[in-house]
Amino acid sequence: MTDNLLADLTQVLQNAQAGPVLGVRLRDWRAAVFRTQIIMLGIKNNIGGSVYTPPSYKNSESAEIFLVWDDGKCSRAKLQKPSESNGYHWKRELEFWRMASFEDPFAVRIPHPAKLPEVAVASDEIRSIIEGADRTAFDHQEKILSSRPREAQTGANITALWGKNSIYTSTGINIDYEESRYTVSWSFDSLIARGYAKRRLITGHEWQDIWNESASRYEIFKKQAEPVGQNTCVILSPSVVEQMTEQYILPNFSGENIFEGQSKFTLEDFRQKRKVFYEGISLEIDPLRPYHWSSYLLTPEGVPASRTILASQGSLHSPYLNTKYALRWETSPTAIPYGGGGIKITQEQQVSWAQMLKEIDDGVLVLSVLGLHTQNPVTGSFSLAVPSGLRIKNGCLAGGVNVRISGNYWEILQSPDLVCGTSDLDNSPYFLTGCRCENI
Amino acid sequence: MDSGKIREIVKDIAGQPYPGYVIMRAQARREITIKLCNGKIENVFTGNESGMGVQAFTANGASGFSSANTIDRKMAEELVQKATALARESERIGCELNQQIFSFPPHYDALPNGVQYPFDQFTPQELQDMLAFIHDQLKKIHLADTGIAWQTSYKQIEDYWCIGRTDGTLVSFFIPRAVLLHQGTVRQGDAGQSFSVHLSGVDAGILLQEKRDGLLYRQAVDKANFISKVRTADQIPSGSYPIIIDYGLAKGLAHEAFGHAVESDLAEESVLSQNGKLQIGLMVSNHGVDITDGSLKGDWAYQPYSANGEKRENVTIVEDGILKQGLGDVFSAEKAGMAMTGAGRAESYGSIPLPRMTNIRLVTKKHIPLPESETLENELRNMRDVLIREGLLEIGHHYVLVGYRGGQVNIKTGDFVFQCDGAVNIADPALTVYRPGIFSGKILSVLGSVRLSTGQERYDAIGTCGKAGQSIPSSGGGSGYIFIEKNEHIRLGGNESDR
Repeated sequence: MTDNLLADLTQVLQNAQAGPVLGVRLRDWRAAVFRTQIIMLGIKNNIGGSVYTPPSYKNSESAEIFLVWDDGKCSRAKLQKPSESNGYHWKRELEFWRMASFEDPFAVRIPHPAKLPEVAVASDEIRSIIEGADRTAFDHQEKILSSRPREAQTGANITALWGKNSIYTSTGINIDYEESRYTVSWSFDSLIARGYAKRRLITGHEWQDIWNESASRYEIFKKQAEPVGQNTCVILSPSVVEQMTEQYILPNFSGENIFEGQSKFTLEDFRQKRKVFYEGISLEIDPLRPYHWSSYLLTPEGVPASRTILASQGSLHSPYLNTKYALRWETSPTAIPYGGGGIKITQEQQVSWAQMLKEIDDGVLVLSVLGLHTQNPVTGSFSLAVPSGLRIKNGCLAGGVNVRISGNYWEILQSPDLVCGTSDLDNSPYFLTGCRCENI
Repeated sequence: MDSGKIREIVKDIAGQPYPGYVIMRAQARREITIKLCNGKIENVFTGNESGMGVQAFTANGASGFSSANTIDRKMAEELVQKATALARESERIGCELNQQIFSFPPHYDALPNGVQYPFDQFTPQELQDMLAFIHDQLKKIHLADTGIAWQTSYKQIEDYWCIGRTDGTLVSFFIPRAVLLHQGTVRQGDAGQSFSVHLSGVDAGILLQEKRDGLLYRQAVDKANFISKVRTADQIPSGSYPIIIDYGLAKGLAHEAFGHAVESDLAEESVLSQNGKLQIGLMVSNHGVDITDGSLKGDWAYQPYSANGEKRENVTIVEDGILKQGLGDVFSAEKAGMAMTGAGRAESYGSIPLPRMTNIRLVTKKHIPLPESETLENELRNMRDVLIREGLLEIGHHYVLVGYRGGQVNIKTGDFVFQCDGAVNIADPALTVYRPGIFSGKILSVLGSVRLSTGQERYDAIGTCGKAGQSIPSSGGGSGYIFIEKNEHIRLGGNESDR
């Protein structure tokens, strides 16, 4: 045995193919090994490096395995490098995995090697930060502290991640690849929050645009605006739209939930391409966008990244399917969305956010909501408190307002009155909706 | 690696003399999760994870943190060096200095596991068989007009923690947890609603118990019938009403509306603080209302020592309506004007501990007995009779909210929300069921409207609390159903049809 988790693990699994474990040989296997290094910095109550947010370094190496035994049973486990890597340890582990095996005839397919897409998911600049050769993260912390609004209680988090991953299978997939992530987020008085999350560093222009937007919104929020009225329209900000995508779209487009009767939609809905949204609305998983947070090269199952259309021109197209549910669906596995930001929502008639704002006479921009995770994802109904809402009057942001909103997510997407507003600063669009708001 | 070896490593590394101060945490975790869906096994997942985290302080109190998912001496030494280097760098650029822990006395303890059935008592196959039997019982549940999709999951965890400090502190303890959960989805056409019932404990004994007495099965039957009515019910028109909340919602109320607002690290911005100090002595409710937080042995959120090695205290947050104490940890309790109660908890060895709740209870001194009932419907009928007899039933609308679905708070504004599975108007002799609307209010208003409770006290409502990106187990309950008077600052829901 060596000090290398991947080498030891693949050797152990190959041996189990040659000789039985508790009387049964291993037929096929998949191993995904993740080696991750993370640097984190933070600001709490205007102070960098507080005792709750000290500069941190985290290092981990772990693996996920999926095994298919000769009798058709399978096993799934998470493990890490053992403190003493010897034959006895691995024998015990194999026996335990075998004892924990279960029957699932649809899960036993292991993908074969296939061409990987060209997609940029690793940035050398981030590796330099992890290696200590680049002080950008510390500079960003300093930049937030020196530019923050003087009267605001400011909090912030900065994270740089560098990963070296390996996906190996008994079917011949042998992929080693690198990935990176960089996030920076801040909040003023826990009310106005903004962030950046990609697989590369934030550029100077991006920083300036995002910072200016949040700082100006904070200044406007401090002014008390007039209450909302009967005709006030509700605009959901991109971060709220993204949270709603996570709460409503992800569970209802999941192949597993559809098969198990826990989705709003049925198999038949997809087969018939049922129209469920207003024409012009499309949903897509696109993991091929360079340096996008939710882009990837291949899934941990070994399936190469590709684009998947979930809904096209208002009609259902495909759920997202891992290998197991692709087999049940009798098709190929699809792209997998990692979080709400992994799904692209587009509308044929979408406008720019700047243009949308100009045309709103009486509205409220919802920057954050409380309680979305408690809402029923199947019915789509919601009623939510809005701790940070900005009043819009005559095309301009006009001050803070405390409101509650209610409506139905599915009805928003079915409405001919929905307008999507796009901004270069955000992954998701703004939604101009007809949902209800009331003063608190 | 066994717990004795882990303890030795922590003792040797943390106990060395350093120019500053070191807190070292090691954690070893074993887990098995089994999930069944609609009669078929969906997944069996096993996992082992262990690692160490080191928070190092310079002599002046700047800190740095490092962690790795390995437990060995060499790595422990490297982590101390790395955390110390980060602490020095942080001090150089002017971070916050905090030496509070330097002056606390050391602790020395080793708590045994103490479960009836050790983690390996049953093989994964035996656990699968027991769970399949329990899951199969759900097939007997039939609703009049629709089917139910069922998921059953069982999770068994054994966490071993060992915390060492430069001052010689060495405490170790096990946190065993097990939960059996049925999740049902009732749907018809586009309308559907999910619900869950659970049983928690410390080991596989909960599976044996359920096989023996079928308590969770009966709860599943009751809840399925209730949700079936909720699915086709009208929604409560938005507004303020007199309400009664069940013990799970009482946990949610105490947790969201009060627990977070008295955590010492949040005192700078909490609505219950002034100038960064908790307003101890503030009258926050009528007399006769208490809120207490404390770790209970065998509970889902059990935490005998803080993640910094301090003994976890039982804390009376509100006593007889007066704010008495907060949840303080070693680092910020003094600054927040409260006592240190050992409140620090961490999601894992790789997380920085933060002041957190464990098991939080809302208790009223005034309590009206309620006859025991087998079903929710009978219980509500009995409650209606009791309220009529006591002259407490409101006319027109008096809603009972049933089944906690989670909540959230903004401690700066004092806004909190939580959601329930459904509501019943017990002012209506027909006990009409309603679809839920979110329950929202202001921290400083809600406790003033709590009056009394009825029915059996229960403190085993469980959940997961998220704060600063860390998820930890939480639990709690109430001294029965809690009565909340109508208050303009406490509102129920609202929907599109209200417009």
